[in-house]
Amino acid sequence: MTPTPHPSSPKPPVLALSDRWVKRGILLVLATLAVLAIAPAYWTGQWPWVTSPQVEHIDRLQPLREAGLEIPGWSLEGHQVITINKQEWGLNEYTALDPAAPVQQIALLLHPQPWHSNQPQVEWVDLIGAQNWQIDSRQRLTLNDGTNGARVKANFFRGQSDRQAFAVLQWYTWPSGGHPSPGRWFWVNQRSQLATHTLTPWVAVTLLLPIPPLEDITTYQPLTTNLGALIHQQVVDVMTPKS
Amino acid sequence: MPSSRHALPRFSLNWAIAALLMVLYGPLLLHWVDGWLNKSISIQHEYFSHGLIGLPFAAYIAWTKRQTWQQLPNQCHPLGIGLVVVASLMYLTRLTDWMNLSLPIMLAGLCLCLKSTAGLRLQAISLILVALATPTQLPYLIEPYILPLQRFIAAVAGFLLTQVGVNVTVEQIYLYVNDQTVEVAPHCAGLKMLFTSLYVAIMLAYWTGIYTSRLRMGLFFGGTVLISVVGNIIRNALLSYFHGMGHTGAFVWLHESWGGDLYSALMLLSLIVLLRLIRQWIPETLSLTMQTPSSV
Repeated sequence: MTPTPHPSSPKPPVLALSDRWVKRGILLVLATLAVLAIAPAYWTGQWPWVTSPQVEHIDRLQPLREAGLEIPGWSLEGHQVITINKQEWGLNEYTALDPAAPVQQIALLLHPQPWHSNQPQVEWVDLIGAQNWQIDSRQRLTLNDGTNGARVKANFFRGQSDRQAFAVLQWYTWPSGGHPSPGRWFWVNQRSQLATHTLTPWVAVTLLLPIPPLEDITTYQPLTTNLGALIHQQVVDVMTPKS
Repeated sequence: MPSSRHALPRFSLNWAIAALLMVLYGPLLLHWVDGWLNKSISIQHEYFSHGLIGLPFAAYIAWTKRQTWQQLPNQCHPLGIGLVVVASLMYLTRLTDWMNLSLPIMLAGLCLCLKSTAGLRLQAISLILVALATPTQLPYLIEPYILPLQRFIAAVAGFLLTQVGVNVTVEQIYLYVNDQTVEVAPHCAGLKMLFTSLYVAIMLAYWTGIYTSRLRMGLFFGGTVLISVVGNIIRNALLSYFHGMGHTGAFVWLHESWGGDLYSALMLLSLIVLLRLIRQWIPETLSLTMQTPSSV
C-alpha cells in the first residue's frame, strides 16, 4: 500500500502564457504608459511633480484672517491679527444682539492656510499651549450646515486656565464639510486632486465661549451647535466664489 | 529559413523592459534624490532620506541574485498583471504621491508576472527596502498619534534637566527653561530618526544574516527603538539646556547644523555596536536540546 503523500503547499495559480507573450504584454503596457504620462514631460521639460495641484482662489482665504467675519445675530465688536507659535490667526470678538442668549460675548479664531503647500497639522496643540489650558469634558459634535448640505464634525471641550474658563469648539473647515482631524481633510484632498487636480482649501476655526469656571459645558451645546453651523456657512461663503 | 520572430534574442525583451522602466522612473528617482540632498521638497519627503543608501543597496542585492533569478522557471501569476495595471493607473494620475507609490507596486507586479511567487520571495528584501524608502504622506498621517510620545520625551527630558540642577517646567510637550520655550515637535520627537534607525536596522539585519533568528531580530529591533528614543530624550534635554541658558550658538549647532548630523551618525554607529553585541552574546534560539543517554 502506497503511503498517502503529505499535502504540499498549494501551488500558486499560473497563467498558461508563454514567457515571450508576457514580456511583450508588459512592454506594451509600459510603452503606452510612457507615451501617455511622461513623454510630454521629456519634450516640454515640465515634470508632473513641478506642476503640482494648487488651491483655486487662494486669495479668497486671506480676508478671513485680515478682515472681520460677520455672523448673523451677533455684532462684531473687534478684530485683530494675533500670532500664536509663529502662525497668524484672525481674532474676532462678538456681542450678542439677542439679550436672552446664554452667552453674551464670544470670540472666534480663524487660521486660513497660508499657502498652497500648507496642510493642517498642529493648530490645536498650538492653541492649547499658548493659552496653557487644562482640557476636560471632550466631546464630538455634529454641526448641520443646511445651505451647503455639509455635515461638519467638531471637537467640543472645556479649557481652563488660571484666569478663565472657555467652552471651545474646534474644527477644520473646507468647502464641502469639516472635521477636527487633519486625516479627514487629507482624504478629501486626495479625492479633489484625483477628480479636479486641485487642492482642497482649509481654514482652522476655533470658537471660544467664556463660561464660569468648572461649569458643565453640556448646557452650552445647543448654542454652540447653532453658532458652529452659522460660522461654517459664513466661512464657506467667503472661501468659494459666487457663480 | 528561420522566421524573424525566432531571430529576436530573448534578452533584448528584458533590456527593453528595463529601458522603459528607466524612462518612466528615472526622472522621478532623480527628483527624490535631489529632494533628499537639497532638502528642497517637504518635511515629509525628508523622512525617507534613508533611501539615499537604501535604494542602491536594494539594487545591489537584486543584482547579486540574478543567477538564481534566471534559474527560476518562467511563470506568470495573475496577481502580477493586476499589480502592473494598478501601478500604471497610479502613474497616470500624474500626482506625485501616487506616482511615488506606483514604483514598488510596479516592481512587485513585474516579479510576479515574470517568475510568480518564487520570484517575489527571492526579491522580497529588495522590494521591502524600496517600499520603505518611497516618499509618501505617511509621516503626516501618523503625526497626530504621536502626541503621547512627544509628551513622554518632554517629561523625561525635563526630569533629566532637574537632576542636573536646571530649573525647568514641563507642560504637555513644552519645556520652559528660564522663560525660554522649547517645543518637542513631531520631527524633534525623533520620528524621522526612528524611521531611519529602523530602516538601517533592516539593512544590517539582512546583511549579517540575523534575520533567521527571531530572538535576535526581536532584541535588535527592540534595542533600536530604545536607542532612538533615549537618544532623542538626550537631544531634547540638551536643546532645552542650550536654549534656556542662552547658548544660542550651541543650540543652532545641535538643532540645524552639523551637530544634528553628528548625533544621527552616533546613533547609527550604536546600532552597529548593538548588533555586534547581539551576535556575540545572544544565541540563535532559546530552545534547549535534550541529551538522551544513548547520544553520549
